[in-house]
Amino acid sequence: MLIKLAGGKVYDPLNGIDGQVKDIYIRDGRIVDKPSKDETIHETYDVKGRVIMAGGIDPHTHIGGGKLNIARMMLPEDHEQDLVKHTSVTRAGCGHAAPSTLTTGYRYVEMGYTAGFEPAMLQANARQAHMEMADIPILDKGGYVMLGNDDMFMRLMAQGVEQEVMNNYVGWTISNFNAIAVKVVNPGGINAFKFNQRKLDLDEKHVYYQITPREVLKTLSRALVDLKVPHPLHVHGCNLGVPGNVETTLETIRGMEGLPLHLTHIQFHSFATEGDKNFSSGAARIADMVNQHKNISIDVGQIMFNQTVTASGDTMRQYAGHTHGSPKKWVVMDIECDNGCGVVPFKYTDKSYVNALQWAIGLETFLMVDDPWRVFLTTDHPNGAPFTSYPHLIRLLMDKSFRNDMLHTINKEAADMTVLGSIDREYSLYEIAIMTRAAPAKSLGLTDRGQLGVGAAADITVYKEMDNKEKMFEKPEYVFKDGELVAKNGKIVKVVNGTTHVVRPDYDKGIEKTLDDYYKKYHTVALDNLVVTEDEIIDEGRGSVTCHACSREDTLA
Amino acid sequence: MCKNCVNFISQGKVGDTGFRNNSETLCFRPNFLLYALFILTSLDYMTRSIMNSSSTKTSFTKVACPFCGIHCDDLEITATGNALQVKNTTCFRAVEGFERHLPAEISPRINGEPVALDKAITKAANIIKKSGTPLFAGLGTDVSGHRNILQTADKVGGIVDHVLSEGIMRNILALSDRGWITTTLTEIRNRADLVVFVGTDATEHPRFHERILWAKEAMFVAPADREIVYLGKKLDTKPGISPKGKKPMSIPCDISELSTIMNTLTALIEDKPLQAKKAGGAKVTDLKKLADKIITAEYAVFIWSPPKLNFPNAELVVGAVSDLVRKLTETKRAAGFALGGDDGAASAAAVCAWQTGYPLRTNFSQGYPDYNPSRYSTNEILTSGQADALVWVSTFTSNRLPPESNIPTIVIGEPGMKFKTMPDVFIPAGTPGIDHVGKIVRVDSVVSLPMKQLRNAGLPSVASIFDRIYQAL
Repeated sequence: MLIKLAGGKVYDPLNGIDGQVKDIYIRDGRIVDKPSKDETIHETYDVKGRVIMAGGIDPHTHIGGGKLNIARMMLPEDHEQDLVKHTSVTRAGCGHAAPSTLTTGYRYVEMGYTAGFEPAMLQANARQAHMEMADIPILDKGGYVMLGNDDMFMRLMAQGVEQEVMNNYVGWTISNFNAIAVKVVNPGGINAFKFNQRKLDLDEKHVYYQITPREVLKTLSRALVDLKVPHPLHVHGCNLGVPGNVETTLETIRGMEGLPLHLTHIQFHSFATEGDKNFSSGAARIADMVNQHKNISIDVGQIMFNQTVTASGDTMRQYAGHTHGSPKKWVVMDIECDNGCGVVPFKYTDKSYVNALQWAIGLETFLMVDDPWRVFLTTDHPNGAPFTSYPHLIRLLMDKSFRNDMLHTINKEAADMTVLGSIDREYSLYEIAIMTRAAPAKSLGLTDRGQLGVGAAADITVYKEMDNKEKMFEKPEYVFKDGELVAKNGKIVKVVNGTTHVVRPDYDKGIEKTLDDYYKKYHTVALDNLVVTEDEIIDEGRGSVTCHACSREDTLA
Repeated sequence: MCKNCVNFISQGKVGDTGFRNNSETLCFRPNFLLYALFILTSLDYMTRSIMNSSSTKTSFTKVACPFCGIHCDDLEITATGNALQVKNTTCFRAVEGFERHLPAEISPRINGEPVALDKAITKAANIIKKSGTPLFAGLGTDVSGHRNILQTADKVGGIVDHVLSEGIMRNILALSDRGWITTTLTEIRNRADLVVFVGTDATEHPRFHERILWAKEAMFVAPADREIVYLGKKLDTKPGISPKGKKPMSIPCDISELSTIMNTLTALIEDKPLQAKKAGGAKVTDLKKLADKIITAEYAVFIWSPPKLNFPNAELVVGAVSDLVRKLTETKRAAGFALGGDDGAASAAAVCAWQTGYPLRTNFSQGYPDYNPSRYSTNEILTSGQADALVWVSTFTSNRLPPESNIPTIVIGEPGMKFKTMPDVFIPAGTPGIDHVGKIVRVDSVVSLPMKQLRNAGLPSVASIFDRIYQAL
């Protein structure tokens, strides 16, 4: 089957293509060279004047795993406003803040996205996370396994073992839970909360293990560099949501001494304490610091004014934040001497000074970080807002007058406290293509996704160009997944199964002896039964696994 | 396992050669892969042959037990043909489950008459097709089974409910009303210095005490020094005697008084003045002693068992435990923990929640999932006549029979089931963890365990049966 997309305007930053008119050819799920004249083209799509990008890639979206399932069970009233009927090709489900797995897949694809990555996969819950992700249709997926709060890690740190031992543990974990990256959440803080510690700043010691978040971050980041895992350590930093936490975030960047970090949902970590309300934007200082440090990438975790639910591993901060939640019901859970989770519904409103300023802080960050290759578009779904608000967010970034109109509707005091109105920058389509496809693909080491070069997977989105960018990005005209037309005019027309992206770093298997002993001594599951095998994910053809090379461009001394 | 591989895709799709490369660089040659596949297939065939032979003994270790929600995974089991023997525990749930007799006759039946599987599937599909709103209940199966049942229910507009939903809903109602602070088995094992059993003795999970409370070692407590407390009547408190011989504290009270007891404890912890001498049938002085223990504990865990709280509005007990733990957490750490999860209940609720947003008691008849925790109970549906066919699934035990009804009934279940009235269709199915591999979610809804195949008795899985029914619709 040879397909031609004829005459579209192509935005393909990984190949330096900025809106040039180009034909694209697809064969057997891949993008191929222009075929010879005597070859039959089976299908041609006339896409003249259309904007063509690779399928969108969301590098931070809570789509699979126990905490989302708690959110689902806790929020029947949220589902009721967005119940989804089955069609001849799709299953029934629910949408909005805590969507069903099935609806998650359909809605992402209908919006032109073809991959989403679950950033908080617990070892203890990895099997379920993979099972949930297996039930997300069409979309490619992958998980970032959580480390840096598990007692195994803390014990090794407290024993002061060599970096190489930590590397082996990290390598073992990534490989045996079929992960593509590593995330740390409130480094050491989730563990500390189990010992009733309520705060853990960057250089504060864990009451039991006597180690600091700074040590955890450096050890994990170094391990990933040594293991050549493409994605840098994915960090949900200390002090989420605490006014003044901008200082911690700045010091986190400074303190890494060149080691690579990805700071996630940085909006929640950019709060300063100026003004009458002791709450102000630290975005300018953060952006400045990110601009100066090429070893740092970020995603924003933009909030939108709506009901949503926050689901996080950060039990310490979720517990502290529950007083601001709405409706008043929430869950905190300690998990398996591994990690934890906290689920707190939130309703962000534009009349709230804090919420309105959070909204502005997110946008300031997007607009003040110079390099779109190092800032990814996220709402930390569903924590800042459901992923379905991406088209609206793209419009805010691309359309200054729309942004300023919105700015006039928010809490007046917050509007006065932000520099947003004075920022002229408007993102171009090329820059949007970078931050929503090319940059996440590059950061995760997905060499054949997020781009439209010959040999790449044919995950392709075709948009009608419109002045209203929200409308444009809401319902693309065509979405292709691995060369198959899966959505047309914002409706699913065919359901296929996406793959699970993983990396398998090289490590010394000798570490398994240490782990097996530890599990036998203290756990309630045998190590062999805890790990998730590749066969389980393949599951007789329900899924597939795509393993990417471990290699990094930055080789630190 | 591939190391340093570049863009290596392994694909299990039918019709695929098994593997395909997605770039110019390929780390394994297809020939080698096909050869490896051939060897693996042969090995698999050999293993199955061995498993089938009635004289050969095969031993399995680290076997996960599917028979209660704790899912202990340290079992050693030998298979001699289709007969299984549990080697390293006397747990009655495990022994009964694994060692139960496999009947000689395991063929599917239509109106009691043996038929080929194909025929039974066609008949079942026809009953479902003819039905306006079929009820899929029992649901004693694994994750793959639940997935395929939901797929079928969605397609035909059915209703789904689990045999233990009554208990599950006690938890779910408290969760969706106020939430909670909970913990998991490994945390309890390593951290709990005080364990309060609220209206349960956990004897339905025979190894709970051995594996969790009296484990040899723990990271942050000395297990034998744990304080154990039982609240309730007619509880077996013997397992609560520590290995050092220390007796547990016991406060007898009626099960329906547990929310009063929990609320009184909360009041005592808050230091509120109490005039009454008795609360919920217990002496306030006893409750004060318990409150003092709770206050001094580093990590108190309150354990309840939803199936045991069998009285109207029992979700209030769960809510009262939640309130107490939340009060304690203002200044210290504590947690709740719900037992249960038998018959694949935790998997049923989890899969239904991730696929639809709702934990069971969900009706697809309008094309979208419609959830109602009371109206869509099996009992309510059958008595109100909302369903016109019953599909009953139960593979963990032969004791869970379908409720009496006069609507066409299909049973997909344990081959030893003995019916008062023969269902229209009976398809004997395998048990996950015995007859086929599978995955089951543990009672804490966090950990899930891989189930092993221990024999090859020719019993199809629930997932495969529903897959075929779905295809036939």
